[in-house]
Amino acid sequence: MRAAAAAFRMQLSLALRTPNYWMVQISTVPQVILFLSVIDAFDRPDLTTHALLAPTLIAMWGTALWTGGSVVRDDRWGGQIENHAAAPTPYGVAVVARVAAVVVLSMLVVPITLVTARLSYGLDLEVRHPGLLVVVVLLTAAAITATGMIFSSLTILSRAAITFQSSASYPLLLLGGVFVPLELFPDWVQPLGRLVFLSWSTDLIRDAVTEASVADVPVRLLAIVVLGGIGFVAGQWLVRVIMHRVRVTGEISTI
Amino acid sequence: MPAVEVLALRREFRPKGRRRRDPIIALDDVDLTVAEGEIHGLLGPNGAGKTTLVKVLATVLLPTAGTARVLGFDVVTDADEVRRRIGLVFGGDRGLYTRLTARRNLHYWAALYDVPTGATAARVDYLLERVGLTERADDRVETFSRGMKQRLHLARGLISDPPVLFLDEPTVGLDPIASLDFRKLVVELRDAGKTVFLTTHDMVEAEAVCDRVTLIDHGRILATERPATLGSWISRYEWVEARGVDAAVVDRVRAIPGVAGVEPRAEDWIRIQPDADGAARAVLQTLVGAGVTSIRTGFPSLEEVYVKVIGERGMEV
Amino acid sequence: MTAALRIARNSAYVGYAEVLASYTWKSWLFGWLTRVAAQILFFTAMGLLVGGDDLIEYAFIGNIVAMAALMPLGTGADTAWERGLGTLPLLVAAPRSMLPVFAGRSSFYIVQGLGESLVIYALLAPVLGISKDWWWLPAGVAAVVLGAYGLGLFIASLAIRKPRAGNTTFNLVFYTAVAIGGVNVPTAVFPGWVQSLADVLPLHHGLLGLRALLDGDAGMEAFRQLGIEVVVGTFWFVLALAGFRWFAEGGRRDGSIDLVE
Repeated sequence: MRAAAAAFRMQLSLALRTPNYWMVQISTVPQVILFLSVIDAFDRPDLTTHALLAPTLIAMWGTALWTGGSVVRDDRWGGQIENHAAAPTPYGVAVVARVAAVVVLSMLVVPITLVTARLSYGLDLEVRHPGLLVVVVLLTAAAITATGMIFSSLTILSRAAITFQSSASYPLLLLGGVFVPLELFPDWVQPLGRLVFLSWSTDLIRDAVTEASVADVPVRLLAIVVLGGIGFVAGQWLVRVIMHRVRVTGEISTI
Repeated sequence: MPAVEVLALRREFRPKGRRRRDPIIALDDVDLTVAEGEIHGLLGPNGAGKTTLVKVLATVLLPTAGTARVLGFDVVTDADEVRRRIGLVFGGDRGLYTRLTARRNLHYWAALYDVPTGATAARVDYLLERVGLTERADDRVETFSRGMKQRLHLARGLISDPPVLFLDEPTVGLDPIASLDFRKLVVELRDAGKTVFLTTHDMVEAEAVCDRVTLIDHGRILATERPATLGSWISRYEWVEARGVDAAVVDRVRAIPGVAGVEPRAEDWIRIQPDADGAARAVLQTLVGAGVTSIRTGFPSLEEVYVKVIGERGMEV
Repeated sequence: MTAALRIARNSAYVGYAEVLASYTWKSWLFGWLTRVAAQILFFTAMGLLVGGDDLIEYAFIGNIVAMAALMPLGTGADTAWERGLGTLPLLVAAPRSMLPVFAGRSSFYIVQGLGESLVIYALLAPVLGISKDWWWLPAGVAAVVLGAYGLGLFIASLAIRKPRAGNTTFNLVFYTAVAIGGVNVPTAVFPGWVQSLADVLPLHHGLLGLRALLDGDAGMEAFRQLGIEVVVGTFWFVLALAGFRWFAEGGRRDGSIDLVE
């Protein structure tokens, strides 16, 4: 859709001018050093993939949650929600396109991570299954977009959501097996972790890079799609709730 | 076909909170018609319901009861048709992406309003020129003055070349020169065949720009008048203040026909309130003739006019 | 000097009021504190994959102290807020130096950092099966927090000129200090020039001293390390003084103080 493409482009311009975006990208460098220094100190070069995946996802997750999460909030404080309500294109389209733009931009951390690894510890990543990796990364980016959408809308609908946004980050990264794979956690945590699409993504990404053959690919991809899809539906529903509050109850008013 | 037709429109808001209170009635049984190709003003004090009405007509807010149609399309059931045909201009500092350039802001909205890709660049250039922002087109909006932002708001409202434009208090916060410029633009739009519905709390502005003016207060329509009528009210209730006036002169002023009252103000000033045509002039002549040189005059506020005129007509204020 | 202290005291009231107004106990507990604890746990959990119980313990202590340093270091971001609020020109117009103002306003973070670290230790150490001479914790954390405070003020003095850079600078400095300061791995694993960098940043020396104390090694060396940490902080504090003076002069010259970004 043309409107989506325009919204995507517009958010790219906007995000590139947001200092917080650059802050996250630049801070990735010391984070990469942190993880690499740990596996290096314990002489575990076999964990290189783990050490590079973690800072990458932490940065992407952080960007999606905070910069992507502020799309709707910024529109609210900027008096834009009513303008969108009066336009023929549904607001949900603009929101998803703009959060997606932020997520795509956040993937700048991938080359940053790889270059940092090369320059600091002379490490290179050899990917066993590049095709699968690309697919997983794209699906994961889509699912992260859905999550960003949810937070974006939630924070203007509920005060508690702002509190939650702050505290949800690291627990979800833990459950998502971003550094330590979920299977190494205590038994009671496993089912919780499996509900978070990240745990499927991280396992699959690590396997795609290091394993000779990857098991159960279709099921695992499906898990990401389904969980991400649920997030997407929730995100769109939340935008509808916002529009309801603008049009019907008049609770959200910025004019 | 009228450009805008409103019948028995009602909009209530339910206040939040545990105690069940009566709903706030922002619009109460509003009837209004706007003809195609006219500049129609909606005049009222703050809180009268002007912005609420604009929001309903722009499909941003749903009515609680009644109907509203824009160019024949119902704002509730045919919202999408309405949106394609209207432009919306809210005043103020907000409503623009300040970290983007003027041009980028317009491109974004052009896409959301389905302006064909091939035509967008030309349209944006044209609009920027129309509102006099060509030279600043690629500067970030955050560097713009209030007046420039207002002009960009107008350009945004025109992005889909809509036949009907809604302007909500567009000159609030603008200095007099910027306001005049803006009004000129609005008149040009009307002359180009567009219908303009604008809200304001400034009587002078309403009189200067509009073809017809509807007065609203507390969510109710009071009257629809020609600007000339407004003008006569303004001049009739124009007050005069003077300082250092002898008691004898004050008595003479009081005796002038059409002077409703004289009251003392701070620091030896008095305010003379006329309520008939020509009375202000007679007062001024008397004061000047008596050698009073500290004199100032002013226009009545909207509230003062409402109280006098509407009260006079026996309508509820 | 007394004037400066008085200014600092009054500014402290402003700071306390702001912070207290921005949290409710619920948002602090379930929002901020949970976030801090979760971040500590995230890095502590690395031990499940690599390094075992040793890393768990090492990272736990390191990250608690690091998070305590986060807020005082973050005073740089604070000034950007002040500038946005438009109160900055008013501050500059007042006759005295701005350092006491910022120092006072941000002093609450020292208290916050100290308090939160103790609470989290008390809650999580038993869960993780870690038992140390915990009574040394306040001393060690206090030293690090003071070190971070000095550096935070210096960043603040730079950031007023360019508020957008403030947040980025603070983040970069913080994550660098965490990466090389002996939070998750000892600083000694890094090359010489990196260790030198760690020497002038908060966390490194304070953690060395604190770890020794927690392990029951309460000798001169441990206290010497804590002392160095405080000296490092003082060094940055002095630079902050110069920084604020430079800002005031420069800003008055090029008129950049009125710009509300």
